[in-house]
Amino acid sequence: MFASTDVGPSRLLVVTAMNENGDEYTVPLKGRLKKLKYRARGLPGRSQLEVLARATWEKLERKPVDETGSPLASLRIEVWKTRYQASSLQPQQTQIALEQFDFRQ
Amino acid sequence: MELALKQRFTRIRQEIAAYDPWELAARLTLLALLLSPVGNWFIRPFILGLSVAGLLIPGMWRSPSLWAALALLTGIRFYISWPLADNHAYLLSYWCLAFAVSAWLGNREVLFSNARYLVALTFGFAALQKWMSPDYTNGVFFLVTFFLDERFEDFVVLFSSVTFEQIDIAREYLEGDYRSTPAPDSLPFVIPGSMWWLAILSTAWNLLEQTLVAIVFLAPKNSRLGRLRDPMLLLFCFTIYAVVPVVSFGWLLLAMGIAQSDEKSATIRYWYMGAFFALIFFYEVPWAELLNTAISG
Repeated sequence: MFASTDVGPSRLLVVTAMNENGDEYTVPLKGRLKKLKYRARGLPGRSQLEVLARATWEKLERKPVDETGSPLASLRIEVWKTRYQASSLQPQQTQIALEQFDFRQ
Repeated sequence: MELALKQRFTRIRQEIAAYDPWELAARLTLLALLLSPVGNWFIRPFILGLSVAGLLIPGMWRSPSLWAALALLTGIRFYISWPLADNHAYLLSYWCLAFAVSAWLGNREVLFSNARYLVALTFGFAALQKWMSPDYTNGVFFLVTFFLDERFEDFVVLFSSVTFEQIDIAREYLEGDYRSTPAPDSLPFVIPGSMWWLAILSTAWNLLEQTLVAIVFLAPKNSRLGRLRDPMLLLFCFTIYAVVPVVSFGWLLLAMGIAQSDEKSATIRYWYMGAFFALIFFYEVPWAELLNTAISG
């Protein structure tokens, strides 16, 4: 039963890909990645984030989003939670997880 | 015609009154599993199949194997979706396990006492979590939820002076990405007093009601407080599930309510059955949307 505003939908999870040429871009999470995102957002420990990162890495290798063709260097995943001020409802975001993954052989 | 209807109605009442509470709770649980199927594609067909078997094959509803299988499948369901499973997914699995153990031991009281304690602990922990959450007690939780959760949109527009357009604006503001730049000081519109009142009343009502349900279910059955168990649980189901569309949770609570209720009181059982049917209508009829449409002309 409901009790807190700190629930999945009020958390922000962002996956940023970094290429070897230094380019950075936010990875859109769709399909299966979306499900993994929800899971990682709810419990943003290293293991859940790694599952999401690995699946994202594999997808980007199969279907690159970036058009420069530069190989993927690493993935950064950050998770933020939102709190709302009592009288104004002003949202304030606090980072609760930040992990970097590099799956290059 | 009138006489025939009266006789039919009397017969239904007698049949409900004659039901064993264990059987009625079992049948309602199986019915709830059919009306609101749970699990993914490789669990759901088995749960549905077992529920159909439990309802159609004579005496199957009392089989320990049936309930053990349902407990296992509903347990696999929340294991698969961990950590995202709703809390009533866990409750459903415990409840099926209580049926299995009770049937295995051939002891009806095992189910009845489990029903009582599952309700008491569910409400007790829910109330405790609310009392301990600063977001909840200051009313922010309901204000934010009313703006962000689409399921409450029509309810909010019907009972406050907030418009659909304002809800969209609020949603954009509350869900923004403020990692690098802070959010503007406040919403682009002033939250009307009616919206504050709606949030405050919802907060107080939920907190009070859930605390009371926990207390009356923990109190001995024949004490003054204990005698309020059924009215309090029924009041909760009639008020909350008219607004919150989580009907499967409501049905589960009603099945537990029937199991622990006084088996000599037919009236209580009619109320529980009535609530079970009412929840179908609450869930299927978008009454707030219909009223909004009627009011706006």
